[in-house]
Amino acid sequence: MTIHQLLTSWGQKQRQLPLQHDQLKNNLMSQLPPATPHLATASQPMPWLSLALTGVAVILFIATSPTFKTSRYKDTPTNGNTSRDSVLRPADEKSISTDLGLATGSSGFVGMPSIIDPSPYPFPIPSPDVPITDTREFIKTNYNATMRTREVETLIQRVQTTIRGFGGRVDSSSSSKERGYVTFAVPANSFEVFRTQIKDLVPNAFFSEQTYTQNLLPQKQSIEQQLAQIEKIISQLNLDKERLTAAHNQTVATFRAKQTAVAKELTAIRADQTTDPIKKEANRQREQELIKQQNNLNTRMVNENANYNSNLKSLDYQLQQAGVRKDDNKKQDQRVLDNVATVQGTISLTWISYPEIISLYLPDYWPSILLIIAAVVAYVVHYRRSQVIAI
Amino acid sequence: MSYSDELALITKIQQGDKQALGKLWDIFTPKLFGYLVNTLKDRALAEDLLQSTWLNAIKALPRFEPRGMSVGGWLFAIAKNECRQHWRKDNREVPLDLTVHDTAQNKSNELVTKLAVEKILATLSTDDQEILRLRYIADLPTTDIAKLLNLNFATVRVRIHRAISRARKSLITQNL
Repeated sequence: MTIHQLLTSWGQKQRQLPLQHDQLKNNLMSQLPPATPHLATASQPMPWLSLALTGVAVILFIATSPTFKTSRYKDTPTNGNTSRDSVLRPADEKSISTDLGLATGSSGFVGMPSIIDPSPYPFPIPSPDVPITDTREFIKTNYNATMRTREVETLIQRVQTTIRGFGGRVDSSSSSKERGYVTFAVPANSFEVFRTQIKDLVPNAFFSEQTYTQNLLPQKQSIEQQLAQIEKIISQLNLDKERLTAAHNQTVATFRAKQTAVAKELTAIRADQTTDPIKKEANRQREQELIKQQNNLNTRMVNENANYNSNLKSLDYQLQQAGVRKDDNKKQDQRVLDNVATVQGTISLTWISYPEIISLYLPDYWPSILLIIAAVVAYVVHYRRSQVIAI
Repeated sequence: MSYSDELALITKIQQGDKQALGKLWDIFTPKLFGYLVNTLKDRALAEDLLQSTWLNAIKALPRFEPRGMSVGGWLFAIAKNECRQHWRKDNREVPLDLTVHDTAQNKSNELVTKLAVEKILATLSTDDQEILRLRYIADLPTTDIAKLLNLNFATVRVRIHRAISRARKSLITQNL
């Protein structure tokens, strides 16, 4: 016999009626009232805890729902792949100064703000001086990324390696166990691939980025206008120089002609050996006049030469200065082009704790979900307890 | 008897049908009394508690709600409560002596079986004994046992299985 059979047999044998079975039965039946009204079930105690938890969950859900959130700027969403273009900021904003002094105020470049722009909808500020007929684009890109990680120091090394790997340059960096910061520049033509690599260093939920772009066309136009002005000045100066030289030559030629005439007349007079006293006197007076004229002409020639040299020197100096400004202008132009060809940016890293990791992956209303679960559990416990038969 | 038949009986009893009450008594009293005797180890006490169990059941009839538990489970819940209250008042257990507490109704070989099983049960824990009583004397379904003991269904099944295993081991040990 198996134990189950043994126990079953034993159980059956245990079942028995009491000795005074009939008496007890009759006694019990006499106790039964004629009709036992089925009372309404004693009202179940309200599951107050469940209701309270549900209420709090609903309130929290409403409070965390997007329609009730105050308008606040958020970094790019967890896919981390959006960018915001700022269109044609005013050219007189200051740029960010980095450790290598990358401020480019002289080129008029507008750097990105040092904090994230709190306005989610920056409205464009078009430059009034740029005509629509000029559709050229000299796009300057600035990049800003934020990463959360549990290994700040390791990740910052990887970021720097990535920057250098793309032919970029690390301008400054700082790191500690909790925070890290890198400013860098990479070629614009490898920026997109670089950005993808950077994003792959951490999971999407830990990454946010912002991209600012600006068309440097106003600066380029300004430089080109300056260049045109300079070239105009140079050509004017060259023209003035030519005119000066021509005038001088003509003056000198005139003087020389006069000098020659005077000299010739002097020679003729001196050669005249007249014995006529009147003529002799006249010759003598004429000779005096001619000598005066000759001296005068010499003086004037000297003055003319001096003036000419002085003016020429002045014009040459101005031309030289214009040449210098032209070179500067070309350098400015090149700087603008180099600026466009470079993407500058910052990457900041912050350490993330496990609760923060959980909250990143959970939806905003996870407290409400937890409270609802708690409410359900409380209700189940309440229901089970209410199953205990009240006697 | 099916669950719906039990509920029909209850409904009739609520309407004052004494025959229905008598029928219910006939069905459940042997199990109740057997359970009480085995639990309390005192027939006289078991009779008292049996009576108070039924009286309390009648009083609770207006509030009876079929909350997924059978009528038998409901009655045994009342009986367990009576036992608990008794032990609270009088914390004295009567030692087992089947020759005193058992009746001459049992034949000698049945008595031998009973003694053997009681010996086996004595080696088990109180919880195991209770669960085997509810399973084999009260003949309650596992769901009702779970509700009575405030455990979940799977736990009760496991405990029954373990209690039987321990009983088997005890039986083997005793036979050796």
